[in-house]
Amino acid sequence: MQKRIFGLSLAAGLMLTAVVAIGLANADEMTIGVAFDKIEPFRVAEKKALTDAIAGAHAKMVFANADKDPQRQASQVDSLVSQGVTAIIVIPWDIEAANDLARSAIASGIPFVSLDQAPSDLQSVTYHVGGDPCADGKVAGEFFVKEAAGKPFKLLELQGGLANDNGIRRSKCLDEALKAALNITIVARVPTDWNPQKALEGTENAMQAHPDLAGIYAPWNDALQGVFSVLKEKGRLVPVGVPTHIVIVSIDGTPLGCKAVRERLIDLEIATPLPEMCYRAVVAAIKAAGGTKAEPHAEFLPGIPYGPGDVKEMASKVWGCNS
Amino acid sequence: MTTRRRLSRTGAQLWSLTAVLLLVGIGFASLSDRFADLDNLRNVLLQAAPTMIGATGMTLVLAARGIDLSIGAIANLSLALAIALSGTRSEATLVTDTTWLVYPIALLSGLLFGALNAAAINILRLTPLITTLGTLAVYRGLGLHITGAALIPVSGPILSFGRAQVFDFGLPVFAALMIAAMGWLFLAQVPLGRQLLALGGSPRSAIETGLRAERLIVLAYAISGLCGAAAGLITVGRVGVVNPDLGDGMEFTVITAVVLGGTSLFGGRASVLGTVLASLLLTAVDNGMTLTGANPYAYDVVRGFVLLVAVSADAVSTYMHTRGSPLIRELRA
Repeated sequence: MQKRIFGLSLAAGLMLTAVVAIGLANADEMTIGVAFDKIEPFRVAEKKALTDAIAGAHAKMVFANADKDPQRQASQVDSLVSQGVTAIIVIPWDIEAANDLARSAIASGIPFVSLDQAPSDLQSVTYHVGGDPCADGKVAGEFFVKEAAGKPFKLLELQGGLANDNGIRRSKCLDEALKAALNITIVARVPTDWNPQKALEGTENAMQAHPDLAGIYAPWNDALQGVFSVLKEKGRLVPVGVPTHIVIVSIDGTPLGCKAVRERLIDLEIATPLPEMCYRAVVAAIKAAGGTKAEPHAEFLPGIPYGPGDVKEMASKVWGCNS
Repeated sequence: MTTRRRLSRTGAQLWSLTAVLLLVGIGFASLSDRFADLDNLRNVLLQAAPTMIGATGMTLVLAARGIDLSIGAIANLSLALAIALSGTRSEATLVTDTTWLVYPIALLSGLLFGALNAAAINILRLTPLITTLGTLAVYRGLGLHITGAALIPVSGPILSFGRAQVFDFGLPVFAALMIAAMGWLFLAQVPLGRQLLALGGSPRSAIETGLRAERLIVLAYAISGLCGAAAGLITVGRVGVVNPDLGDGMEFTVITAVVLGGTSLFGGRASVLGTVLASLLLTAVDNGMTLTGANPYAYDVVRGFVLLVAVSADAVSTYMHTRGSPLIRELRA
């Protein structure tokens, strides 16, 4: 693990240097268009990381937010194309519509990089970089299998977006990891559309039906506050290690996720390598604008797992622990 | 249509809605032995409280032939403002501590933003749909600007209202029932409420008979904004966090509850009791789906199916009711 993190950090450093070098060579022309699907806490952190990387390359950034509207995102990308930006980095809201947006931009000679949320056809974009929702889901599943240790284990799965690549794969790959563990029963799968209020209501309802719930999979950090509210009301919000503790695994690595780990309220957090992801997107965009093909064509970076036992050692690698 | 006939039709709709609610209850109770537990009924009532409150406000707006698409955005902006003005953020804990001022600030803000909607409708003479679609974007944008689109965990008095218990029921349940009762009384007994219905039924006649339409519109939208903020206070109090998505989609849930409850989208006919029953129905469906461990992809399908059944039951009961009416008999003859 340490070697991999060292390798990733080294790669990030080298890439940033490359970004700066390429940026200095094209200092006058470069404007990177950035089109987000929505604005929420994780996106705010991504925007900051992109801003830093683009500024590091001495380029300008033009930013647009589609606010969950695929039509608006299409218009924003069109307008970035007509402005003649050097390259476009997009977090797609509609993973199908993103294919056409990418083809249209590339046909106009503008590289199209997708970030975080993969389009349905990866071949349509110049380059894609994101977290690895499947790897993260598997790590979560394997952790539950280990915690259950062969005993009967009732698990609540809070699902993110059902029409969203990250949401679908974080769920599907959890299932794959749990397939062989017949002692683990997923008692409820609650669609939440990434909404903390729905996470609260789903947890409340599931605990009503299954007071002996043993685990909760909350695949995004914003769900945690709602989950904690319910557990507190039921007297089950106790630190890891206390017998009545409910095993909780979450994904993202935000400051709130890190805080929950430090307070020993959750057992495992899988931190998305957000700064790394954003650096790679900027590097690929600038390289592609200079005529260099991105290799590999798509990258899915697995999250960094950490828990109360190793949070001190891992904190420097987790973006949310350093924000 | 006479007042008596309107009330009778509303009565028929209430019976059909009650029947669907009972059927849904029996169905889920047969699939999960926990569904009919008293604890779970408390749970359903508590989860329905924000919808009930928002929908009561929306009932008044629809009664006056209006619509408020910005109710969720008002909840968001009112809470964002109240937290910004009355809260103190600790960088060490990342939590914003609030004071009791959060309540009056949020509620007054909601009232003000609702009244602003009405002012825009009255002054610009735009349709309520377009006006509130515009203010939805403005209010949501302002809310995002104030919070910086950050997730803000909160502590202090803001949690008290959403989490307090009275006789083992959540305090929001009593608040929602009280607000609904006030809404019902307002429409049924208070002259201003009757005037709202008259305005919704026929704006031209209402104005010609001397009703002050603009004042009534301000009243309806201000109450709707107030209810939106109250719903937001409950949600934030329960979840313990102000998130950028607060109130997102709330307008659709409350409008669904209001229309399903028998209030006409074209004004003049309203049923607060129907709104309450429909809010409970929508919440009970979600609750039952989780309790029975339903496939997550089935949630929307079942929700849609229940809505269709409720609307069909309403159509049938309305047909049965009007078939025997002297007017229909006369028309057929």
